[in-house]
Amino acid sequence: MAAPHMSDKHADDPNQASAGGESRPDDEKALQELRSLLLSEEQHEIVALRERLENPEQRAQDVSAVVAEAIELRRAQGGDHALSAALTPTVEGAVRESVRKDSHVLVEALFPVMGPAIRRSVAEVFRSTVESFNQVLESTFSIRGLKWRLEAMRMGRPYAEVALLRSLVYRVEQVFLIHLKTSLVLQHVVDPAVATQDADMVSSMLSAIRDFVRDSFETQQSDSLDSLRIGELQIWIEQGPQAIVAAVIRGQAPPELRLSLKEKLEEAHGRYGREMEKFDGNAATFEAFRPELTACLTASYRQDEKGKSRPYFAVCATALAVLLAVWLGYIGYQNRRWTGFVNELREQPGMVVTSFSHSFGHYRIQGLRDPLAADPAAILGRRGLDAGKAELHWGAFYALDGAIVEKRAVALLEPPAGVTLTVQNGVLHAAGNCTAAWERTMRERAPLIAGITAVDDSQLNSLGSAIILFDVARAEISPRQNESLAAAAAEIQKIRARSAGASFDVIGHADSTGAEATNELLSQQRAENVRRALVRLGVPETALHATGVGMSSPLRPETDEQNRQFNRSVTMRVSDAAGR
Amino acid sequence: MLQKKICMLGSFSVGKTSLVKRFVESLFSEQYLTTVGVKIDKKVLPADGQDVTLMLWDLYGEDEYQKIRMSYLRGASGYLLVADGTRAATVDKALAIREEAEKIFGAIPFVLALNKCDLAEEWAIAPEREAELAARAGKVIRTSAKTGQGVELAFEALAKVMMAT
Repeated sequence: MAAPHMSDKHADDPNQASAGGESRPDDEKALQELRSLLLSEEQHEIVALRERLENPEQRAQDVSAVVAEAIELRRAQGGDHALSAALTPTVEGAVRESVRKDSHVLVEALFPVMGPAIRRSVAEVFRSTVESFNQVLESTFSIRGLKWRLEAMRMGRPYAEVALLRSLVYRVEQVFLIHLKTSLVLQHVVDPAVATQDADMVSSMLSAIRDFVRDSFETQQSDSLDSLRIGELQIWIEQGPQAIVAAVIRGQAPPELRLSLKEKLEEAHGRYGREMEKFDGNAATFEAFRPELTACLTASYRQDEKGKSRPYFAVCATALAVLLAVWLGYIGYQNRRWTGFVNELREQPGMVVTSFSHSFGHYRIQGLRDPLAADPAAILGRRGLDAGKAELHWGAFYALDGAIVEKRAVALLEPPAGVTLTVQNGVLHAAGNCTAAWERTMRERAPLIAGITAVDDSQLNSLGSAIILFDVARAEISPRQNESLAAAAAEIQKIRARSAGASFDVIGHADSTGAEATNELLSQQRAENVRRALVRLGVPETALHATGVGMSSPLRPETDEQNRQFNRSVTMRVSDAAGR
Repeated sequence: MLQKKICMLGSFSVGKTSLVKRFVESLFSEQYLTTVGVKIDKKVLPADGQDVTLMLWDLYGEDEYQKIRMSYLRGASGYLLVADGTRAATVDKALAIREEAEKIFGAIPFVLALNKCDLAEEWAIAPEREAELAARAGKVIRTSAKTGQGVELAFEALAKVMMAT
């Protein structure tokens, strides 16, 4: 194709034609005709190709047909780094533009991969944590572990942290890729477990310190600070023509690590040498180098000295720990039972627990106890506690708890059946039916009882025990009965004072001697006489109802004369409920 | 994000560190200034429609005992040349530092800050001199680290000049 092109060029150039001076017009014409005859097909093809090349749409179509194959070919030739570098800004720009226009498009595209990526990341962190935990656990039950535990206590730091640090040979905590000329960070990676300062500022300050050292000691321009050490931390620095790699290392790293850093630096220069040279402050290009730097975040931990685990030690230690836990659990259980016992004692009326202590399985309880309070030994037995482990020391005292005062009142007053005694706020409440004699005794003694400040006998009824006795075959009231009669009248008035509408039965009795009819009449007369006597003593007549029952309701079986005497009598009772 | 290294240059006690303190929250102690001769701070500010991270290298001011470590200036995208407006000699010193810097590193964008403008009564720079400085140095801005006047403006102006370069 070159020859026709050349010829064609000459044909189009009039100067070329005239420069020869020898060609005539006829010859030219003939030559052209000849040319068109010989080369017309090629000329048309050339024109078509030129048009095709000059047409952008056509050119795009042509390139699109081979672009995939071209990229594949480039990758196969090993030029993927350069290709990636060339495409990176365009792809990044396209992604940014896409996000700016409508972020949902990218979100939807990434959604299927985000879940697995997050899960993988979490799993990786979990795996790393378990590894660390295993190491801590392995060292927990050893002499060394105990030493670390003491150290942790002394330093006030968690044991796990001390154990990890002490079993650490080395750990690369951070790696910086720093632009040599500007000291700006091109890329920075950090171990997730490490807290860091601002990488940009640290990187610049590190560069400043390097410059300071070089200037201060007037070293050669090619010399540079390649390591720093402070405490357990070291900074290893590798310098290249355009950038430096600085690794922050805790512990003692092997020399191979420096070789690895050098390789990474060389790789960075190989891939991004041109970008580093023209670096204008935009470090986005170097994001692609992050995985390579992350690979430098290595760590190494000490293995057991003998290189093998000692399970027997762990088993013994675990068994010991289990026994200790069981023993502590039993002690705790016993303490809870005894504490419950003491709490119950504290709740008992008439009992004051002043101290409770225990040592080596023995429990000592001291306090004060009213003689009428519950028996501590009985409570101990009910709770199933071993009395042999208890030392109970009680001092005597008079308790003023209502329940104890009540017990005391019952013990001292000995109320008859049918009488109840209760104590509320120091007031003794007596209720029920009793004899007048007991009522008198109760009134005399009750105020003397410790804890009783007043007596309420408004519910006490001694009328049921009132009895007026008569001589044989007589219905007249003997003067000997005046006192009983007056007591009965007073009791009736007391009941009426509580309930004005109360009414009373006055019941006449006769013994079994004599005729029944006579006895009925006699008992009726006896009842009438008592009723009249009560009226004279102030009881309203309407409140009294006299009845004679003869010998039909004897008060006592007439086994002797004394009992027979009781049946020659008049008794009284409340007949209307309003009076009860 | 775009990062730029900028330096604070000027004589001793013209207020370079005070200007930086007005502008950023510091991470490093000021003792670095007297020991290493530089203290580094960081500030992000918008310039030309994008955020720019300025790495501020506050260089120890030159005095009769100590020269500025010019090596610290390497790779800087610009510098803030600071002079004390109440001491005319510091302006001359600032210009001398600039010449020295240009000799070593070539022309680098800079802004001249005439600091301590709150001390109006002690101001020692005549208007004609300021005009002449503006003609020679380009951007000249009066600042006061005490009141904050012109501080942001000076850094923004420097960022703008650097971005335009």
